[in-house]
Amino acid sequence: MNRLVVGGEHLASMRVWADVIANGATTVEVWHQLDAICELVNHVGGVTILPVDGLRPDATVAAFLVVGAPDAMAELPPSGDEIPIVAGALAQRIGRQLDAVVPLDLAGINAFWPLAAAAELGLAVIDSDGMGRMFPMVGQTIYALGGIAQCPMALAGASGEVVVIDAPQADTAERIMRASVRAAGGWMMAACYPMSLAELSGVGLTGMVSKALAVGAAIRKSSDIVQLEQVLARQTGARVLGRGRIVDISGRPMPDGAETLSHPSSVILELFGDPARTLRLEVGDAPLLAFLDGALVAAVPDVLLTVDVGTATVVEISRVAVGDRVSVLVVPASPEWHTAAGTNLAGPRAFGFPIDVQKGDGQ
Amino acid sequence: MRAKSAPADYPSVAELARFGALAEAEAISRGDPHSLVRQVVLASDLDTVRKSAPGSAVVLHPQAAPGEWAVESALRVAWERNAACLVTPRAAVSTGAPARLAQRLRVWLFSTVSDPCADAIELAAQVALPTGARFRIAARCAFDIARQHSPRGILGALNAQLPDTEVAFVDLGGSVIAGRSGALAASDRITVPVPGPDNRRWAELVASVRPGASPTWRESIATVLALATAPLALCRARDRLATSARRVHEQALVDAIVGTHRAVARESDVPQGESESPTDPEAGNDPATGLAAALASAQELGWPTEGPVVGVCLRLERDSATWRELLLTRWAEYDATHPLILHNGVLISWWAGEAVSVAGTEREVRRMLRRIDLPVPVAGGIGDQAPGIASLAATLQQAGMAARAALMPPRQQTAQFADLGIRAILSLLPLAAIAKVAATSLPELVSAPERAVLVRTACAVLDAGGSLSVAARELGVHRNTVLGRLERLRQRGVDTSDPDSRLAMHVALHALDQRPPRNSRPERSW
Repeated sequence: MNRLVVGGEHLASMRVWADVIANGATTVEVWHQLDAICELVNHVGGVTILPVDGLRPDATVAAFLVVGAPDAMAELPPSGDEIPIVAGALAQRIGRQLDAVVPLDLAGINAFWPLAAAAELGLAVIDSDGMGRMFPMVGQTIYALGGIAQCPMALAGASGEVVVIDAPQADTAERIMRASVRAAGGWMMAACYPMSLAELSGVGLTGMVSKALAVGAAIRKSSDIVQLEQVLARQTGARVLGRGRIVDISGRPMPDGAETLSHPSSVILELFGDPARTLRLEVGDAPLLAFLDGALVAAVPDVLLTVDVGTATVVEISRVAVGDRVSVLVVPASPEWHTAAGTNLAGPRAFGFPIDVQKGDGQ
Repeated sequence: MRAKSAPADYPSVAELARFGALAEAEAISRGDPHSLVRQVVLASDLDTVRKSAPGSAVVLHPQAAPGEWAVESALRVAWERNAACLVTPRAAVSTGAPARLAQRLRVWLFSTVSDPCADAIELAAQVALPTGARFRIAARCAFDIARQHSPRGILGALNAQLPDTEVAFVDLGGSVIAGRSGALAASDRITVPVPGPDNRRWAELVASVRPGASPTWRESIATVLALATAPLALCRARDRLATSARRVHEQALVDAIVGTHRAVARESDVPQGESESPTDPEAGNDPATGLAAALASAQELGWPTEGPVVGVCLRLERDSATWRELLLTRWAEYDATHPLILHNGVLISWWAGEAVSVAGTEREVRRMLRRIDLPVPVAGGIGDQAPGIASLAATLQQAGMAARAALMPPRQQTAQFADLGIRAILSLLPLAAIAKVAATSLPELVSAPERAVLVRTACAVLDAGGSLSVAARELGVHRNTVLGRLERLRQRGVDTSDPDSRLAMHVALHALDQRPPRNSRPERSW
């Protein structure tokens, strides 16, 4: 059993990994919430991390996260009651109490809300992960791929709003959820994917919390871009697509019928070297596709990272500017994502790109 | 979409871009100019591009080009498939990135705003029947050629309109008159003779032919070249006529300015057999009116007419129509301000203006003669400064004498009339006739092997008034040498001390001294 100590090295390592796997998408406002979470965890004396076989198989677990725009929490702070309210609402709906908490993903601030929920509810966190990266939709999870339903899901707002969604279709649930979030002020605490530990052990990415801590610790020791690239290659199987200078950033027309969640754009790099090759990143919420001289070399669900060459820190793709020197890496997603079902749920077509990853692409 | 007629008869991308279905499209990147289009593919997805055959013109449907990334992907696949070109909707390209990639891959990339389906259909039709596109080339060339008025313009039109072809216009000696010399270096060429105004061959049009060109493409080139031959012949005839007419006009103008009664050269100066310039009969009837009108015309031509005037005359040692023509042509090339005009058998010009001076004019004339660098000696004579253009005749007359004197020993490139002194009189003598008589009267001297030395010595003694010392110093020999030569002269009937014959003998020997030795080469250096 691993026991996290608030403010200790483990939490700092988790923060590094959460930032990397979110491709730097966590803002200062978001990290401010971390202080509150640390205080909460500290107040209860720490949170226990259990392996998937750490409880009885029929124990009930659910994923805790914040949906909507985490930045909105800066303007509409949590009341502090959201976690027990949402846990109670879900328990009431499913007819049994929760025995443990699981993360939906370990990217950004959502890597820490399961800790807060566990601390608040006096439960343990199961060493698992539902994404292995970050996706914009709650339905884009390994749990869903494994046949676990997203619903019933409970939502709680800062002003006492409680919504319980029980929709048979994941996309319907997603739409109702987003409508509720907009009405509640931009964010809501969510508890979803209620399941037994036996079900989780068959579908979850087990051991991912421990891995996040290990990789985060290794990254913290790297001091330059070369070391960072080496650490990510060794620990996650990442490969470097190239280092270069950003020469163009442009808006991209919305593909017909695509339900992308942010402004799509293209980031074009001229790679160092002679002849200078062109690396194009097609971006939605995060970099989704990478083309080297027109050839597809990386695609979602793999994770594309942009790292500042000078500071060796991950830079969120929406904050890069023409002239920046960055290294682009691709961290392979879990094999589950590369199945037909995985690609269907989180491949390029799920983001509106009429392109399929061919065998040999990216080699 | 598949279409073709004969196996080797495909249009090139460059051809279609110039005149075919791609003429309205923007060529974002250019690839191999010789790339042939063998078929047309309308692609609605990347897989269709992947399946295209080499030599395809791939037209992307907007569905296959939702963004630049898709265009770049299609470019990449088109390059891998050795496609002839890629045509993309313009809306799919917003930055220079696709162009940069296409240029690096050397793939033809076009963007178009028109309907891709219509583009593909028209392309396919032209790939099936390239003759139609080629007729368009011929028609367009004919239209462009008709708007040109010089060989350079015509060749420019040919090179601009004929895709992946270089055309040169060469004379029979192989020198390029206009166009691109690269045509001569091509391994496969088409040559079309260009007749002159007299219908005799005087030049050729040479066009390079791209490797693997079809017979119909060769035929198209030959047709277009043939279209250009008549306008080229017309240009040459027009040039000749224009030059001839301009010179006649200038000669008449000079006649009117200087007046026929004040002609530079007298009738006796004009070598027999040479043409005389025409004169303006109206100018003789009313000199004042004629001069004013002539000066107005001269100003229109840009001739200098204001302020003091210095006359200039050029003489060729061996005068001939060819050298004279060359001199006139080169002078016109280097100096557009001061006209050089054939007037009464001699070439005249003048400098005018408040800042004009005799010395300055002489320097200018020397500079011009150096630049012109004619293969035969040319002498320039500079007249005195005259107060105005009305006195042009007088200063030109002086310049004529100076030019003649400059050709006499010691030869000079230029001479000023002011420096001539009494030699000006000698310059007016009909020396050729006098030399002829002298040769008859002094047969022993003329036949002597050392004739030149003896004549030069006798002249030096007579020039020195009989002083042997002065003559010896002038000739650069010892006084006794002069004595010996005088003795040999006496033996050949020449006595420089006889007062009765001294004047006639001096003139005769002076005339003999002008005749170059037989079969000698003219000197080029002064």
